[in-house]
Amino acid sequence: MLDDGSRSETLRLQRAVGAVRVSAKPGHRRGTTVLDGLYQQGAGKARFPRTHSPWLEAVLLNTAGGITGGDRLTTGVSVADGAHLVATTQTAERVYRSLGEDGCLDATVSVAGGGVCEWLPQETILFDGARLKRTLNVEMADDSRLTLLEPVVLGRQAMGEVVRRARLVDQWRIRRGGRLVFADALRFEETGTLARRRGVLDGARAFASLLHVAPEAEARLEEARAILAGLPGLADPRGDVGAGAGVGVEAGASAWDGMLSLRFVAADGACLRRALMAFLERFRAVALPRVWMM
Amino acid sequence: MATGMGTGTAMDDAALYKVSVWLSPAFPVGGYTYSHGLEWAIEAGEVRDAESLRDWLETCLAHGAGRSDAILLAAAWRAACADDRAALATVEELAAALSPSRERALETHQQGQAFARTAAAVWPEAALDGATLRYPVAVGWTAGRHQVPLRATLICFLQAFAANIVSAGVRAIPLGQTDGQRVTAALAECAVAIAGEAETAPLDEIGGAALRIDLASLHHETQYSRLFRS
Repeated sequence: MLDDGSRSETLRLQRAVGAVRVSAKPGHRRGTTVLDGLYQQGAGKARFPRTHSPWLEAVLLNTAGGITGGDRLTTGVSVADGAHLVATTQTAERVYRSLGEDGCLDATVSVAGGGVCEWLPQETILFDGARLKRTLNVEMADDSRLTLLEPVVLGRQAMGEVVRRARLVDQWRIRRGGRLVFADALRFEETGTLARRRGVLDGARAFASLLHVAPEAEARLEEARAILAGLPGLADPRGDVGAGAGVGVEAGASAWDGMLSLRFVAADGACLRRALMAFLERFRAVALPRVWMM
Repeated sequence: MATGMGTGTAMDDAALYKVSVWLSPAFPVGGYTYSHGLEWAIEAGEVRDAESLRDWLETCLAHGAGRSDAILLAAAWRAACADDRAALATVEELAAALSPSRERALETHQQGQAFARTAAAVWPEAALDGATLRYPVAVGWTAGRHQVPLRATLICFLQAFAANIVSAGVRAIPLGQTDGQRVTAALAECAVAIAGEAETAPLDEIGGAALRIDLASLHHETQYSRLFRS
């Protein structure tokens, strides 16, 4: 039902507006994190599943059930010194055909002192005609730890949908100790041939950026590369059959200036998800949030 | 000759001479040591002839660093014309943060330093002391200080960017010199269109989709045998 774009469109003529803000602080018991504040408005909601882990897990929801033109959702996450928050989303975010306007998703993350924030949303799926403008602004301290992930899938795989037109503008700005250390600007404007270009996706239909910023981030480059080399479905980079030909995932990593940055390009959403789960499970050495398994 | 945006005057011959000097391969920024990830694309068989090189470069220009650097250059040029150091600092901060890999960060950092150092030594009257500027910011600032029209600077910058990677392709594929020149010539329309767009684009228009070109740069870092630093 959720994959029926046309039905959802007719149900969703009203614009959705929502906001959710979550803050986390250290609990009384050493090494634990508790909820410090929660604000929910409109379509923005957060759930906090009971886990056996010491960190706080926040599952963000858009109760409007997808994004369309004119929607505006904001998310704010703040993590205090000594706290550890893992934020994810209940399900993949579907971006339906827009009649002209952009849907807007704005997120701000702040991490203080030795706080840890992991932003691990599930994939954003762009339907044919989707228009999405997204911003992610992070303020962190020199000794904070941050992991950011944004997976994107073009079209509904099961329906073999071809995305002929779509627009995704995604702006990341990471400030560490007040200094802009990382800016990523994705401007994906499909008008028919963009994804087929060899330097863009070579016909692949899914991609993701993953960034890790931490005092030890650069020192983990070799470890990250070793995990990538063992990923399920890894395409042979020198072979003629790559992600664009419908086979496998391509991935690479680099580290500089206190950061570790990874990129993934995959034949389809399922392939991307398998690769991301395999990477994150080994790199984080803990299980992913349960919603990722469902 | 085209007039520069906001300058209102036709480009004079001295300005044309200067911009040709700065963006000539003879100006010592060490451009020939960088391939912008192309060396990996050649190793992987993605780029193997003139047509695949042209296609790869068109993506670099229209959806990659070409367009983003052009917008940074234009913002630095405007900061120079207004002698606005705060605006320059904003552009430089963004330019420094935009690289997708260690090697691409090195490419823009080292060329920027070399450019600024030489320009300051030759034309001390327009020098900016003590500032570290990434390559497109250094070029834009210098051109603005020397009142070289923006449009001409952008076209020369994009031509130099493309020709430098073509030259890497000619050496690494390998490709005949004439075929290389055909590729550079075929990119003219794209480069001029990007220059026109960048001339008025605000900084938040920066962005690209050259995901596999970025990926090539990541792979280049672990490439076993390499001639280029990026």
